[in-house]
Amino acid sequence: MRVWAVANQKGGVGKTTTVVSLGALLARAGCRTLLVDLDPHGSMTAYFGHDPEAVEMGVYRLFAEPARAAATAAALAVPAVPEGLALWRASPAMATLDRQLGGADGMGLVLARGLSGVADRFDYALLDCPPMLGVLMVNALAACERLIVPVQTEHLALQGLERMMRTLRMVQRARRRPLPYLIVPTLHDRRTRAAHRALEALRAAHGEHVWEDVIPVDTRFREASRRGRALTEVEPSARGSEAYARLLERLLGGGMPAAGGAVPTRAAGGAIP
Amino acid sequence: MKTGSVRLAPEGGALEGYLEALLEQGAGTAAREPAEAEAHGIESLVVRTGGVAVALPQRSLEATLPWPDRLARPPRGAPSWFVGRMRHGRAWLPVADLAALILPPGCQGRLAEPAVRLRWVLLVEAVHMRWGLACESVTEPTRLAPAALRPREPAWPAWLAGTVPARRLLVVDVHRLIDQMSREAGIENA
Repeated sequence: MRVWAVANQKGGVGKTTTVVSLGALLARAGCRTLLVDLDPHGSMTAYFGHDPEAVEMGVYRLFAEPARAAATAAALAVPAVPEGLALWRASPAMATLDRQLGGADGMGLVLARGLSGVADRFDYALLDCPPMLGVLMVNALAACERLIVPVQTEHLALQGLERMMRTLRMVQRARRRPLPYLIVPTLHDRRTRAAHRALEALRAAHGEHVWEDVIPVDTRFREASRRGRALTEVEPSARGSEAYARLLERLLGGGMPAAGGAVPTRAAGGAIP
Repeated sequence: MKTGSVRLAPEGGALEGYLEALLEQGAGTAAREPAEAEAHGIESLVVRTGGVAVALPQRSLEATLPWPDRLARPPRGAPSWFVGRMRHGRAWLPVADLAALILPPGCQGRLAEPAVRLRWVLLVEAVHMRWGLACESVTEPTRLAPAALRPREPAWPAWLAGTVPARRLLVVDVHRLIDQMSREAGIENA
């Protein structure tokens, strides 16, 4: 199973949309794909029509019994649309995990252990991270082999990206192995000069780590989310859908430059046609 | 002690009336800022219990724990909201039914047995005191904007730090609530 995390410490940059869009594309291509909602706000859980308040623990269960995470994980998934997609739901109770777990040994590896328990059931796992650095994001960054960082092409969002990059460097040191990452410009409004300037600044600062394309602003993302479906599933020819298809192609085919000059990895799981 | 007994509200809408009294905007109160409110807001966790939404500042919360399979009985003669003690690490944590604790008896409506109704226990801590607050559901993490807060008024219960009328939220002063629980339960250290 390939594990990709989608993270940024700034909210509203398109993390959930990215996870849902890529997940639906993978599922449509025949890959068994697990979407993991790690945000206590439960945006992705709500996206698929589940009320986070009513979720009976969800991902929280892994952390409630960390020693049994691998065994517990098998019962967490609920099916989602399209076929081939499954969801681990978030619970608002996850909001206190940082205080609860503190610096307890091994708590950064709970998610990795949980995912190992379902590794034979899925080809891909996509992790939707919370917009803050804490035990959940650390778990995601420890568990993943690739990191996707959506960034809105807007001045304030670029400032927020620097925090994410600091976190990434810290995690790289702790992992003792490189974490390839790709910065994905999102919500890009081609009509505004500010967006162009922000995109230029992004490319100047982060060079080859920035995807050469962009995810455009597309109101149809919102319409699809209201229906609880991925735009890439219900309207594959929409501008936004096509952009995510190109992004997936890039993630699967081109490899991502690894941080620290490591050799880029190429994703396996060749079920993508 | 009548823990878990089914209680009926003496009259319909008592809870609604109680909430209205707390949530209605008083003259000249909207613009004031509670002393504890930080400039950027108070990170809080919203829970639901006994039909009301309650916000607890995150800095007062140590953990959110699932309702336990087993509870040790509370001491004889303990208040009715004291539902028992749960194992947490090496300690036995006293647990309060939050709805039974904060709502006036006439506003508690039909509260089902704690074992059936309650699903989460919020671990709160003050100096030398730890309590579990049991509730039905954990709703959402949220940031309370100072401008939206109506600060506490003298006639309100001591545990009530303020309200957010627009969201129909009661904001708990956890330290005062712990004081109240410890005093009423006769517990000095927990």
